[in-house]
Amino acid sequence: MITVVTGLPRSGTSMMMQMLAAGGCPVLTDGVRAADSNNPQGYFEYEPVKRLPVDSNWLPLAQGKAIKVVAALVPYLPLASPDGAPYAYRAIFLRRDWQEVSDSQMRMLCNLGREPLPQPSPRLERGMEQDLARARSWLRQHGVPVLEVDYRQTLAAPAETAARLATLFPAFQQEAAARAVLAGCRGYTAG
Amino acid sequence: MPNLARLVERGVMGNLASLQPCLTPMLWTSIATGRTADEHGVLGFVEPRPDGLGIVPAQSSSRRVKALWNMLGESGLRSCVVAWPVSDPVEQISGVSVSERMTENLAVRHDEIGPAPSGCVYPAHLEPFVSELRIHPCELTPADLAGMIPQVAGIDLGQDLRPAHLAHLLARCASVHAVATAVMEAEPWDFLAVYYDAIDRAGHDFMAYRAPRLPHISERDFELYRNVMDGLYEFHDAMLGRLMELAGEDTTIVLLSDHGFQSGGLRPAAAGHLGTIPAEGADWHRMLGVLAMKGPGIKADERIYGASLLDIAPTVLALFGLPVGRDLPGRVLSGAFVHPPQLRWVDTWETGQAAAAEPVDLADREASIRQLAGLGYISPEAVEGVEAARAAEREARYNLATVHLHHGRPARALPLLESLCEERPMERRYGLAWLSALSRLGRHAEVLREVNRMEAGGGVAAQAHLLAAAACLAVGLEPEASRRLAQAAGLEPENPIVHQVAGDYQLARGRHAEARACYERAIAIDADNASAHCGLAQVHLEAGEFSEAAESALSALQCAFWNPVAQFRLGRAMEGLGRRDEARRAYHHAVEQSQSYPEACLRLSAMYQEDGDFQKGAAYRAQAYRRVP
Repeated sequence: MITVVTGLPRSGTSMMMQMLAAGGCPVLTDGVRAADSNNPQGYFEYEPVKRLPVDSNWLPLAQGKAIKVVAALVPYLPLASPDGAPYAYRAIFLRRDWQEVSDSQMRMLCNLGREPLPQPSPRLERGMEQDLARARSWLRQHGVPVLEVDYRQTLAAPAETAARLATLFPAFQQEAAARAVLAGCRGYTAG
Repeated sequence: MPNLARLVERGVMGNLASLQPCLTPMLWTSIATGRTADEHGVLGFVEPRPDGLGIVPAQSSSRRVKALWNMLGESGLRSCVVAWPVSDPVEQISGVSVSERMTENLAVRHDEIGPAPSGCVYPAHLEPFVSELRIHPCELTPADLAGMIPQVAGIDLGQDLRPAHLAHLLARCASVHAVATAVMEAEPWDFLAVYYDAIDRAGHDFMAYRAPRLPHISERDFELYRNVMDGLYEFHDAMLGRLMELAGEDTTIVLLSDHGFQSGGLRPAAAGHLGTIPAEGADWHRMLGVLAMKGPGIKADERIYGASLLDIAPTVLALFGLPVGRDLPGRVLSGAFVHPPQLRWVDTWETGQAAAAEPVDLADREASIRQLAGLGYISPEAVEGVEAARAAEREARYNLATVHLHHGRPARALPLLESLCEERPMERRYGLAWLSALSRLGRHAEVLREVNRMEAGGGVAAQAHLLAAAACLAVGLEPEASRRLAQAAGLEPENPIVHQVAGDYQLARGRHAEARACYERAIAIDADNASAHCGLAQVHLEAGEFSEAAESALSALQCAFWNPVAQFRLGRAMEGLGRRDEARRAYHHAVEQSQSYPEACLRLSAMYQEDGDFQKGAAYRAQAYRRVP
């Protein structure tokens, strides 16, 4: 089973990866992108995910682990390994208000020294909505069970989210997972 | 080419008018469907991937209407289709379909020889059969090229890639021929369609070397490669002989090309890159291809006139005794038949088509992909992919606008061109096409304003000056029109259109001597310029030179049969020569080809009155004065 943590960038996917890691769930990450002011607790990313549309041969490494895959790349998840064995997925889908996501993305781009698109950008909003729609459609089409998680609700009541995660992972350490949210809270609310 | 000679002697032949834009995937889909690209939906060599993250070759699934093999299949007839453009994914037809992908992955080394790409053959059990028949470049030796490159033994093949490139083209061609002939022998068929691309592809790479030597071609290259194209035509003639032998005498053979190829003085001055067809590659194409037909019921050793690509599908349907869709813009080439076929009609062959999936909005997609790349969540390749997809989509929009412009629909072209100009203001051809649409819509003030603005920004093309000249004439600014024409001629003295438009201007002003000189100059550069021939016909008529007028009008009609003005001028010339029946026939064509041609109707009225047929005379007189909505 591969657990896919997905959503738009800056919707809380890093927060979720931190919860899972703190709760004892194995996560696939390589630390290539180090923690910074945008994500003080770290990104918990795996660099090869970026090239998912052209290369997915590394995916066997994600078996039994959680991996962060932004919504735009979910439709590129292969259905079977190179030797033909089918992959089994489940997804944790992060939801956050678009305006918050947009503002956070803009701040991150500025912190990275990159030019953000002029705001508001209806094209960007539509593009990102379409990414979400295509990801949900793919997950539905392939019968992938999805756990919807709201970013703001998780910040307000991390223990509740941790309890929901515990239904997915045996021996999940709920308190540690909830504490991970509180530890990163300052970074998330500002970002 | 003895086999082609035999086909022509025992059948009919003529020019085959192509379509704009002159691009292989669009043209061969028009041939197979009988429709222009705005209806069939194939708008270029490539199209955006469904996810918008790159491009793919134009897909058969993008075709929105039925091709001949679909219509024949519905009528219980079997087709074999081999290597047709835009035939992948391979269609499940009644018969055999081998897609154009069959010539992918041909091996340049013996250890690379493998099967044809999976999924390129229907039915699939024939895939090994097709794979075995393919000929690989590594199986050809320099000796195999000696007929086309006599001095190949003296070429350093490690340095000069041209012989290897030719070998690849020949291997592709021979593979298609091997599959086509094997399928003819092994499978039952009523209709065989096979496409050979070597002449077109090799033309872009090797026609520059053909005699006479072009200034930018070195003596050495000329000596080495001057025989390639002629040798290739002879190779194709040999293949034609085999096809004719296998088809037998009871089969109607239709040989055609989607366009011609410049082989003389109009060859472009600059060379392209080996093995590519640059966007400007269409400059090599002539708008007249060839058509030859032979078979039971087809006339022998005769010419046919005025055929276009859009006439092929209706003619094939008629050959099979099947109804022709009234919604097809082409016509059955009845003139090719000993006895014109009894035509059957149906409103349309298009029924029960599935709705196309909603395409990705590429502009929105690009915004999202760029944002993700900027945030570091997706690789830069994705940005390149979406940029390529947007470029392909822009090209499709431009091609669609070109189709509308060339089929008398400038109003439909205009919004497409306006959006393109907004997105890419520096792309000159978008701007020129937009001006052309405005001109055809009679928006002359805007044309002048825009050309003046472009001039202030630094230089305009000859075409812009010509459009401005037409606008000046329309609003009564004759001195300015004359100045603009002179500027166009100064910029592109070898552009036949410039001289033809100048001739039209002089003719409109009654300056016949000047008009004659302009038209003759245009024709000297481009003998296929129908408008110049048509204009020259009028000059001859004004001078009472009826024989010369008839010759010029016929030259115009050989280039473009659907030409009511040329038909009318031919009628006038024939009347002047006392050839009344031919005159009457030409006037009839003029009336049929235009919604209203009052002058032709009045001539017909007079002729029928003179012959004592007062009823017809009155009818044509009434038609002459009838207002056309």
